[in-house]
Amino acid sequence: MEKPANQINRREFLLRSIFLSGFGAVVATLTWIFWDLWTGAHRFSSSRWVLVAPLNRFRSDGIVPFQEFKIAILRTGQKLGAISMECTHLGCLLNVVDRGFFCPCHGSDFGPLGQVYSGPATVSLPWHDIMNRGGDIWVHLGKKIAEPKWLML
Amino acid sequence: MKARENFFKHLHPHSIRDRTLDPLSTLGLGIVCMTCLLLLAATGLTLLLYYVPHQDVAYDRILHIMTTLRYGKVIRNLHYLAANVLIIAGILHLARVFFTAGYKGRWLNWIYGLFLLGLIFFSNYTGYLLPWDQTSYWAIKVGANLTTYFPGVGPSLKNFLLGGEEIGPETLIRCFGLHIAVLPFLWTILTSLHLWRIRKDGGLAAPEEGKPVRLPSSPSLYRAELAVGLLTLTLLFSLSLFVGAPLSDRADPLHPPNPAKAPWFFVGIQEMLSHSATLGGVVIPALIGLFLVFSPAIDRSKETGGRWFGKERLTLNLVFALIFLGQLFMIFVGQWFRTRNWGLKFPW
Amino acid sequence: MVQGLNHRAPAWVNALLFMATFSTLCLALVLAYKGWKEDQALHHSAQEGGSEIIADIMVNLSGIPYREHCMTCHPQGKAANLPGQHMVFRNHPDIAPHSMDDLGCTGCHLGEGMAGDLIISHGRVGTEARKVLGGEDVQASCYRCHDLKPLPGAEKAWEGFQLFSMNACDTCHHVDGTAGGIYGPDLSAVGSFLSLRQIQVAINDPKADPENSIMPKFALSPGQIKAISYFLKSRMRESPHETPMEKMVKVRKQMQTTGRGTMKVPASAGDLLREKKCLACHRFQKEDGQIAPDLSYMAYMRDKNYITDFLYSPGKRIPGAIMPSINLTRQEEEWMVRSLQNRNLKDHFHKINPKHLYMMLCQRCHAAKGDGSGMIQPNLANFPRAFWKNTEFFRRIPDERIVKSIEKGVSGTSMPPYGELLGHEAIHSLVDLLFREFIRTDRRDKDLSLSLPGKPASLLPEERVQKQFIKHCSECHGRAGNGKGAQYLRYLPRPRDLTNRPFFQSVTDERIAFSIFDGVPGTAMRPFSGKISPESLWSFVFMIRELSDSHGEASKPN
Repeated sequence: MEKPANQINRREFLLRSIFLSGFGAVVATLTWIFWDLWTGAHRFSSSRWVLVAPLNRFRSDGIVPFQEFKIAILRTGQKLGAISMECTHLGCLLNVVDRGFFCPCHGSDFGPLGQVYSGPATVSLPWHDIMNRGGDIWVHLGKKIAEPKWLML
Repeated sequence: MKARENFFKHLHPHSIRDRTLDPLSTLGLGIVCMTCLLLLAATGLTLLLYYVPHQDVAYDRILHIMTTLRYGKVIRNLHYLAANVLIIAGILHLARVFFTAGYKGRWLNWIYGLFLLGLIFFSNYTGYLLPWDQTSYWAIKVGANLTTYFPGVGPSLKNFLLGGEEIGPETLIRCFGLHIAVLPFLWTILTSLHLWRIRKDGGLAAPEEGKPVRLPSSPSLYRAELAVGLLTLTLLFSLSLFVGAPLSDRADPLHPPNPAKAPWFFVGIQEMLSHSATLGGVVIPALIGLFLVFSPAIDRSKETGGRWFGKERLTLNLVFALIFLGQLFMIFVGQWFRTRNWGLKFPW
Repeated sequence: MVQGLNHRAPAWVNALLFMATFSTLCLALVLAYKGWKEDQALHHSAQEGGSEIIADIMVNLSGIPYREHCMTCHPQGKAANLPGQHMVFRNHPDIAPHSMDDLGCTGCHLGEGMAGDLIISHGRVGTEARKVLGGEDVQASCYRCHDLKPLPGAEKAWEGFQLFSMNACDTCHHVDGTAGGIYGPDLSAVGSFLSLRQIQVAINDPKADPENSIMPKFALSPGQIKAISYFLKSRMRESPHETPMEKMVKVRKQMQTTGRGTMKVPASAGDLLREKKCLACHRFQKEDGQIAPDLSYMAYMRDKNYITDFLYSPGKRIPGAIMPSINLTRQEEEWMVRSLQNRNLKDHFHKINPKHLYMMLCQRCHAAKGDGSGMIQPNLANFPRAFWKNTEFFRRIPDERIVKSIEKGVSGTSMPPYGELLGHEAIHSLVDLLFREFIRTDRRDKDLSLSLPGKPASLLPEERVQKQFIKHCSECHGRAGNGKGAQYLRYLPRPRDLTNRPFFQSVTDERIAFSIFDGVPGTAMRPFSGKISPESLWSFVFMIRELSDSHGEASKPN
């Protein structure tokens, strides 16, 4: 005996939607896992918090450069900040001089808080997030911020 | 008839015999192999992003993948499990085809299949070395030495595998290049040929019937294949909850472990070799190889395929079963019953 | 016939697909969840932001970069700061003048700096050669960089180095910087591939692995073994604080200072023996290494030639001896012989009753129980004869042979001649004692009736003898006849080394034939009387003569 056509279609439709959603969920989960892995390089790379030095390295005011991270920790008054040492012109590593920072590539000059004194750079140096964890100073290398973030001592 | 609307449907026949859907006709093993292969490709490409084939950093990279990377351990485990399940499924698939005389009228595809089996072993072997830990270093050393027993080509084969006389940085680069580029290239070609031949040969080998019942492939075949694929994934995912990809100490070329064993899929040959170099290492593997290659020609039965354990093929089936069980036994003994200095020891 | 286009899949296919999808989904979710959780456990978020913190530190130790993640869980070297723990307690001890900034963590503590989990990062994979050293074990790393001198904080390791030298370890084992020997494995880099625990086991139980090791078990307390292991663990392949050039200079310098230098005249025999580390194994008067025979009565046993020969090549006089060759200058040789030839003990001996004689002289090898497993038995090349209930053996040998063995010793074995020390009467009372207390039979109860088959006119051709030898004898005596057959470790006494020249020079053909024909009771040598023909028997005797190069009748034992 033939079943009515619309009933067959409905049942078939229901079955197919269940399959599709189930299968879709599987694909979604697996995609999530693989997506996470394919974009997971930040764990290996520089977009992360790094342990820079223990707190007792910064006993007096001044600038302490950390070339391997391309940052410098400056202490003024009772606060610490982490400033980027990449020249805002074309990215060369800056040198620390007694009045601030100097770029050996094209001669850009920056003040002690990263403000541009003379070009060709036009943008002042950005800062990094900084924190104290367990007596060590950690700096977040990935994200650069325009306004300084100070760590009070 | 509707035109074939996509590539997936285009690959499949428009209609199938009803016995194709019967699980007992093929046990779905071909799909199991295919799924393993796809999972290996996906996980392998992911691992490829983070691995470095240099002997000083390879181990560190594996550590990084396993501990620092989120889901890194999961992916590595799945890659390891899929590789091993592929060996087992491949061999079972071979056995199924043999016992059902599926090669009847399909000798070329049978040869392609044997090539694929060779690729399975080769891929597993080259991948085994990549972690560069004690187990893998010495397993590859032993494995390479196993080939030297082959007259003529043996030593050259060993030099090819090792990239020189000794295992060293060249070996790692070579195994890596083979594993991720050369072999996948061959895989793609041979898998395509293998699947294409199924269509060209008129579908799965089946017993002759007057007027077989046919069904459209859509949706039955696709759903059945998908189901088997998902079940394989289920198996692999659940195994990964209990079994992990192993990692031992860093490779130390000066201090071999005792005993030093080839990878499990070659340890049967190592066991045979320990009894007799020529017989175990050369003659028996060669005979097995020749038997497999030429059995469709030796097979004079009137079977057309699809029937399990046909009486006409009793001798052939017995020989195959003997080979299968014999090699299985050798692997068991080599893997679990051998201790220091290859002495015999009961594992309980 | 193809069914309709809108064909429905069979019900079971739908059911299977449903089940498969469901199970795969569940497991995929489980895997995703598990992976997430594991990751959380390892890499807890920062206070703000939520991105993972991994302490990625690179220390550069004399050109070798070490990258570490240890401080992720151990900030400033403190005890692990894991999620859920809010208290960070137990600061790292003050290690001035070292600093964690300069050295990092793995330089002293080992472990796997690049791993981020509990097990691998603490070096607990495989042999655990890189297992983290904590507590007092850390001093095992000190001498990786520091010179081998007393060092505050590494007292046990220094003690270990001294023990290594005092117990003559460096006589057999080579370690870079010492003049060491070649009998044992080279230990210059042992710390790189063995864990602390494995080193301790290797010293405490040498024959655990490998079974046929000739290393004796030295009389060391667990504390002393630990100390030695601290020293040995510091012998590593990479020394992070030295450039290769510095290392080379250091090795050369150490080799010079542990060389011979000027030899001062030793005050007494004991001094020379101690200086040359003989007492690490041997006994001399009151001091005892508990590994090798007693040298106190050497004056009455061996002459000067024997002693100098023996020192030069112990394996020539006692094949299979584990004693290494001792190279001495002519001067040292003279002093050594002189100190060993000290004669002032003999007067007592004829007064001592046989029981005490046994305890003083025999027990060391033959054991208090008389079963041959004396204190030093594991280190002897030949198992001392068992007396205890070994009735059959002693019934079948003439009394003269027993007396002769004691009087003249047994060539090619560690049994020395006691004739001069004891005198005839004492020896006989000793033999009476053996029969009374151990062998438990009447000394005169003998069965010497067995007769050998006569010598045939001609012996078997060489290939046949070889074949027979392999068939009957090689399982125990080995294919080369040196006593190391495939099964030799199962037997104690071990199968006789048939290449032992001094031994076979002192025995007659008949005795060899008897041993084969009638077997040797008390050992695994069974009688072959029914199994081989007279031709084979005497062919074997000839073969043994060949193997041991001892043709001609029994020569006088030396």
